[in-house]
Amino acid sequence: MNVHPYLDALHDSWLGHIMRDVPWLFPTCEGLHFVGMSLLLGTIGVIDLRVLGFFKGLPIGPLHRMLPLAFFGFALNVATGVGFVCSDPDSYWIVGAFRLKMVLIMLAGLNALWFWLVVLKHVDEWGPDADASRLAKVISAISLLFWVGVVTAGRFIAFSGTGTL
Amino acid sequence: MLEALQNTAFSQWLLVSEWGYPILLTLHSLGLAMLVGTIVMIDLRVLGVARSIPLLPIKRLMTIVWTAFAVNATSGTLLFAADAVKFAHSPTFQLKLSSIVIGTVLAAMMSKSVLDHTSTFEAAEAGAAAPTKLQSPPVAKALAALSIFIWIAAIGLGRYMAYE
Repeated sequence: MNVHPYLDALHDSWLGHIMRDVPWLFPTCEGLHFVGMSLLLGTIGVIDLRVLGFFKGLPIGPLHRMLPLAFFGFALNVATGVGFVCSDPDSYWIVGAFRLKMVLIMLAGLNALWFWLVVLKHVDEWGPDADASRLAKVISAISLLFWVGVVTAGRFIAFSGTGTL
Repeated sequence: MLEALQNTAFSQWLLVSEWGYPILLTLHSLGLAMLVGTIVMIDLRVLGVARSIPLLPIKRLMTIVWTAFAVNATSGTLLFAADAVKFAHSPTFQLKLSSIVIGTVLAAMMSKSVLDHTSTFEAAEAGAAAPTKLQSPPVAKALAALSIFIWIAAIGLGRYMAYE
């Protein structure tokens, strides 16, 4: 498949133009991308750690109601992330760390879907000091691993490729 | 002294190493995500979001906050050492450090005034008189809002340092 026409289209989109032409926009989006990352990783990380057995005094059900914060962080990061890619699609596309990050985000998303389908209905059963199920712990451990991987791959993007990212 | 710091063998190695610098930056990013993410959750709870979460066990999340703080103080010091003269003279870095100091003081205040006295604060949330000013919900909420603002500013300033 030849992706270059699509990469060119992203490059020439209005988003690509403003990301390159408005000097303060890219750094501002970088800041927002890190704020989004904190909301996403912080919320999901705390929930995963609780499911795994840390801070057992916290009931999982109410804690789980903080999840909209993670979705907000994710939306913020999709929006700013698409902006980064549009600013210079070719440079991102060739970087292994970028591709790995996209794959890891998809895997983390599928894992979250698994959590949603099989674990979510039980969260209100797990009050203070209650143990989550074995399956929930496995899914949470995988979740932590994937999201840490996403952040790590993301950090390495700037250190690979042409050095312009 | 700053020059001596950035001329140490470690600093010299860090600047040119293929893995050292990105790995430290990754640790710094993971630390900031856990630090700020957890603080924002605590602050939002104090602000009245997800009030079904009991405050008493929330106190234990401060363990994550202080652990992440230690990770970032360490990784941050090492990253600073790599380019000490430039960072020390950067107004953005000075502002970032000031934000972190204020944010840390706010977190310690919140921990002492609200999280150490959760039943008092929960009673005050329900309408009882608060024994101290810091434990009255309006004051605690103002500090929580300020804390969220300060930590977002610290992140923004940290990112902006890469563009100076």
